[in-house]
Amino acid sequence: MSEIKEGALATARARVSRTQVVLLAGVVTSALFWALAAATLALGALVGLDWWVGLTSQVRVLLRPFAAFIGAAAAVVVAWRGRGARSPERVALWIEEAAPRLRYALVTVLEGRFAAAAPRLEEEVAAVSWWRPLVRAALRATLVPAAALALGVLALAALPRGAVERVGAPRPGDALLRPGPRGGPADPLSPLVATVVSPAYARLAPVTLEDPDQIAALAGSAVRIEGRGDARRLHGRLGADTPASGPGGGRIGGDTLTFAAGGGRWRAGFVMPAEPAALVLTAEGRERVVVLAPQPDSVPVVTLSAPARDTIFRAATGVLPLAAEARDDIGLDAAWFELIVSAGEGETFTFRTAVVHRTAAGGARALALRATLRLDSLGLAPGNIVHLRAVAADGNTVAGPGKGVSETRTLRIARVGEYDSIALEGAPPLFADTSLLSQRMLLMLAEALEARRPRMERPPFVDESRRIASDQARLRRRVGDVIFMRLGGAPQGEEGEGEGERRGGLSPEELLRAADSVTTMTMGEALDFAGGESPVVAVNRPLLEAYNAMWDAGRELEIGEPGRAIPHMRAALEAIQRARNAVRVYLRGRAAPLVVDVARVRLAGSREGAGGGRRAPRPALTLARGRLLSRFRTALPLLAARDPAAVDSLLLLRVDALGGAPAAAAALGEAIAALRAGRDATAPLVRARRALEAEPLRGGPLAAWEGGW
Amino acid sequence: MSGFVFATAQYESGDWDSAPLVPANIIDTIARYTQLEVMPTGVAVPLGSAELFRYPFVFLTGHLPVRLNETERANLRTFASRGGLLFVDDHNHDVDGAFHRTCTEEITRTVGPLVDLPNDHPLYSAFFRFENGPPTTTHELNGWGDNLVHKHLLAVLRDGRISVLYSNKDYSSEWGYHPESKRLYSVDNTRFAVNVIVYALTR
Repeated sequence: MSEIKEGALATARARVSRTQVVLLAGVVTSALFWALAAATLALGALVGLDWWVGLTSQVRVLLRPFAAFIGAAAAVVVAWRGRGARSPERVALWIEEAAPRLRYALVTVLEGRFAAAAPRLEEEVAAVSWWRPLVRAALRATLVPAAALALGVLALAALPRGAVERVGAPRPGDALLRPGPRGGPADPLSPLVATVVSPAYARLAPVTLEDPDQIAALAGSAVRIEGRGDARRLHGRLGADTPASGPGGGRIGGDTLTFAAGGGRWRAGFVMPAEPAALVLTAEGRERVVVLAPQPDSVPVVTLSAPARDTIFRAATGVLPLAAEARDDIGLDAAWFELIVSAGEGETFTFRTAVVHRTAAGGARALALRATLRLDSLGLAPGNIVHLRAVAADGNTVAGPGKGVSETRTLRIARVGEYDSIALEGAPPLFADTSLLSQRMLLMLAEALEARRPRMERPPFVDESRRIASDQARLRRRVGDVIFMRLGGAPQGEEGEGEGERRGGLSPEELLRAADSVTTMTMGEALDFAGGESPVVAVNRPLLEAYNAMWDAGRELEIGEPGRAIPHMRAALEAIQRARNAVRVYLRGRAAPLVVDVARVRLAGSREGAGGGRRAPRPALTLARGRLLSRFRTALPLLAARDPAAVDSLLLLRVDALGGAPAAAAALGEAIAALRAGRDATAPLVRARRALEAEPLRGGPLAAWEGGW
Repeated sequence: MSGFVFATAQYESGDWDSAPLVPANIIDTIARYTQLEVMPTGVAVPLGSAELFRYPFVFLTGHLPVRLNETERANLRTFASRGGLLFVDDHNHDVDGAFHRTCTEEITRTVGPLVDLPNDHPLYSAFFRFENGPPTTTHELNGWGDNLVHKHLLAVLRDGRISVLYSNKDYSSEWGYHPESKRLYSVDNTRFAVNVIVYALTR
């Protein structure tokens, strides 16, 4: 009994299990087909949407994952709805529903609570077949989504291949794949795709721009532009004022721009110029302007960190550590230390140059230079100067390597004896020196005359004595001049002035009294200004003694008594000798400035009235910006009138502003972008106007010149 | 300040004061030939000082390498942009010497590229007429140094106007004498300085 019951149960359960497998397979297959169908249909719809409105590449990149998500969602829904196939009881109920003749016999058997009736129920179950409804259900679950999938595939196949490719595999520059309007030739001016290949030294990946208003690239980059349509209808030129050269060709910076055609597209290539320019494409009376904005390749920035400051070396020996850092916006090619050794002075100089520790950077953006410099290897001599700096070059192969240099350090080798003395310059001999010779000569003449006295008559003797007295008086006046020079006065001979005229604040009588007072002072006595001694006496005491002695000698000589004059003359000579032995130190300094007597040069007598009047201030150097502002004001009414040429005018204005008014150029770029997108461009236009109207900067008080600067 | 002041640029490197007699000599020349209101003495103005902007004409000379610091470069750049004229003269007698190489490099880096100034440029007819361009100097002709006659001066032009005038001709030596000695010359060799200064003040 038990075997029968178990056998009956196994048979019914086995049939339910087989049915469950079929149902589960149907659910999985249905979910798979529905997923594919939903994704395909969604993709087709998105392709159609892109074809219609032209989605951006950023949006199109998201469309394929979005379609996959739609498919996955459909699969989840189908699987959720068929989740009952996982339970034998639910499958049994589905069978009961599909085969009502069972009258719940199958469910009752599977429950196992009525074992006594099991054989009979099994017989009833065995008598009923549900294969046909099972097959129908399976077919229905599979064929319907398969049909939907086929519909989606057909829809994709019916769409233009380029439209599908734009969504299926979006990439920069596939704007040209979007089908154009039917029933007419393609517009050669739109869409436009530009591919920029930077110079090899920049090591930058190519960049593709779709429908650009501006192409910004390093100068020297290869730019390739591409569009649809017939190249023969296309004209091209650089700059708004350059006439078109003819169909199928144009001029770019002096090079012919040749348009190539093929596959329904036109292509042209040119090299990015060094200065901002406008690429103007013309077709059938319409223009398209693209701003060519070359990006500068900055020169490397180099910082010399060691030696940190200028230095004077006592000797040209030792090792000097050198350190520098270099940075570049693109990439460095090499860096090194550079030396200039200068020797000589005055008008004669010799120079040597040397390069130390040249290092290849291999395109790195930053490089640290470290080296040592052996000073004795440079063969430096005292007084030589070494000018040291660090230099870095970038790898620019288009405009030539840009070189950046650091600050220069000056290393000087001290001259011999520089630390043991101060710099002195020889001074010309003073009058006192020449006076010494003269006084000695007069003394010798007086002694010779005195020696000849016994052999001479009185009258010629006295005449000779008076001649010596005359020379003694002249020498005395020169010594008097020296005394005044020492007080800062001008050296003026007594001959040019009356005897009674005061010189240097002293009359000759006062000078003589001063000399007398000096002579009567005790030698070695301290000079005491507070004690009534004047500066004249204090500074010139030896010369004043000489002056007084000369005076006495002259008086004796004048009366024909050279013998009595000789002691005074010796005293004068000794005093001059003492004055000459005084230490004279003249510190080196700048020469006194030479003042030109303008009035004398002009033979005008005075400066007043000699001038030609004040000149008008120089006009401000803002003419270029004024022209930009004028063009900007001309373009504004076009904007108000919604003239399409207004945007082109602003584009061309921006080209010219890129060089001299970068702030205005940036604001104009924003305004153009806003206008093309249909947004309000008021704010950037106001900024552009303010940037163009800006007053010239002033750099502090400028007195006479500020009006014109 | 009133009237023209002859300003000599004072820079940190090199011997900027190597031609002390040139200012007085040129002032004398300006007074002799023109009615410009001119100050009787020149001034030395540091390139790194804002005082530089008080003078529309600045003279720079020297023998040694010229290395400007950042302040000097910035000031010189501003000076040129405001319409000032820097007259640079190489005081050496050599070819491609250290002053020439370093100074032209600094000028190119700071103000702009130096180009040959055509010998029919308005500079040569701004006051006196020099049909053959810049007048030669004795150092070019007497076998000193490079033994060459430089046919052109160099210049940095901004909007067609000279911002920096560069000379290899050693006018610093040619003009470096006391103004009183001018009477010894049959032809005044400083007349070209009048053209430079008149150009600087009027163009």
